Amino acid sequence: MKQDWTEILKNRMEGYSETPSDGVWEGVASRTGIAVQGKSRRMLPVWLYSTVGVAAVLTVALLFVRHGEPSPVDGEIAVAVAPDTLEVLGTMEMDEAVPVLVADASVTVLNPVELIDVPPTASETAESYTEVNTPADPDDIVQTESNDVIPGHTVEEEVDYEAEREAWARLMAEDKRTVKRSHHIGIALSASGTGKSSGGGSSPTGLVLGANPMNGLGGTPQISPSIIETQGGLTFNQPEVKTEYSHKIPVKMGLSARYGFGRFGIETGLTYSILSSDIKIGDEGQTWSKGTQTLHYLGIPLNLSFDIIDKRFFTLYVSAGGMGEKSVKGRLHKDEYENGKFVRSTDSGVKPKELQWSVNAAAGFQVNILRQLGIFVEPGVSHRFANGSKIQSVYTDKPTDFSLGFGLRYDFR
Amino acid sequence: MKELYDSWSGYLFALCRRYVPDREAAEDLLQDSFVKIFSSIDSFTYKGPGSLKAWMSRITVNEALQYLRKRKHTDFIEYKDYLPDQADDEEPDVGTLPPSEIQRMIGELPDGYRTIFNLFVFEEKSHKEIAALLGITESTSASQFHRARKILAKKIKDYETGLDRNT
Repeated sequence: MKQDWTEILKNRMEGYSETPSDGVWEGVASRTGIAVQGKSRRMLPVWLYSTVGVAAVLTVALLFVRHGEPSPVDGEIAVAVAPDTLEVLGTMEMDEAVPVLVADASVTVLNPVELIDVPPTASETAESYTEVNTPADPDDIVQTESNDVIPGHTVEEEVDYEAEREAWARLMAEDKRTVKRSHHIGIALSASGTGKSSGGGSSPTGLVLGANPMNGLGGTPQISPSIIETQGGLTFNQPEVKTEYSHKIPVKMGLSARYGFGRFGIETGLTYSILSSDIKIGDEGQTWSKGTQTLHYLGIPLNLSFDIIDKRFFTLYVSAGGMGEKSVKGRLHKDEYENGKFVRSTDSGVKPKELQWSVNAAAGFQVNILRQLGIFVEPGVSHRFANGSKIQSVYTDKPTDFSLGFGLRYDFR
Repeated sequence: MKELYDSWSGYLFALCRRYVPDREAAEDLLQDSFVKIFSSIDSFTYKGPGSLKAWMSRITVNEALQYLRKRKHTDFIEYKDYLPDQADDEEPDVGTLPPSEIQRMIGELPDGYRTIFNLFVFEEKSHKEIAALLGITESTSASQFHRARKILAKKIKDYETGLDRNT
């Protein structure tokens, strides 16, 4: 009974409405990032998307330019690379032994046509090279050999001939396939970074990929012909060869999940980085090589981020944190020249085995395609900690450097 | 988004004004409510007809209560002298009462009474729920509702009397 009239009251108010002023909608729109005019709202995402699209295309193009996906010559030649051999021009002396190449199963053939069977995958071989400091397992000649190596020291001339002979002997005994080949070429790039200028005479630096010793390097190859014939290029008494690296800025692609609280957020995910470097071995002219090294890393980052501007369609933020990554793939493509003429191209796998830790800071711009899903572009700076890797890359040569990241981010709010 | 606003801003604004009669303040409240609605629209799941309205209303009411709390417009003082003395035996006739008048009258109630009245009658909350929402006791909610009802009844009767007198 008592409720009756209030119930009626409620019912009478059911469809009641009052019109607020226009300012209300304007306020709502601006606070939630919606354009005031319906028309502009539709336009907004379009230009945003096109900006993102352009950015994405540019980045991808950049990637391809860097990569220049080389195709192996005849698809058959594989050259393993001893990790350590690549030394940047200008690095100072190496105090540690430089693993010299070695190639056992992954031996290249001078003449592609003569290649009988494909050597074990490049990555497999490369793998054996990456372990520089640990003793090799019995099957891995390369490793053992590389441990006893000839220091590619520019000043020192210590050469462990004994060990090397042993190693070669093992090499020869090991893989019959290699024996079939008419030429065995060691891999490994020259270890000496400082090149000729460093005085010290010619320290055996390992065989420059393919291109030199046997073929009359402009220098003083002092290899006995017999060795050449049976064992391919040998390593000692090679003149120092200059190796120059030109590292490109790494590109990182990522999938990231972020848990936000207020304007801050913690995020992790998966980051795929591509490190590309141009290499030049030797001097242009007679016998030299140029190549591209591409390393692929997969990493897990952990970052703290802060949104500077957080609108419905885009976010501007900064973030900082660390990452652990591991190389999952790597390739070295080389074009070799002798006597000024192009001779061959070789492809080999190269993969640093060590975990790579780094700290980083970045600023990012993210376009939110859905409320919780966005595409981001994130230029930043990172510092990579030395990990004893013998493979040179922008990580080792320029530990503190810029990087460009982009990817997809999912926000848990 | 604009469509959602266009469809529901009228209803929700009336709701706002029922809690906060001051037009300007009610508009601020409406704006806050829509911002909240839009930013949490992803968490809304459609459960049938009226579920969207109910969801948006809930948000708006919550915003209203927050607003009132912040501005300390929830004085649950017992206005002893304000109460009509006569017994509420006669029920007011609200059948012909224009909604705008109802709105006005509700707006004229003291803040605390108004809030409780709204929550009980329009949001159909129990006194227990109201007590929890407003941080008062159940008995306070009940007694204040009772008083609000009385005041409103008187207003309506006075209006009708006045109306009658004017016609």
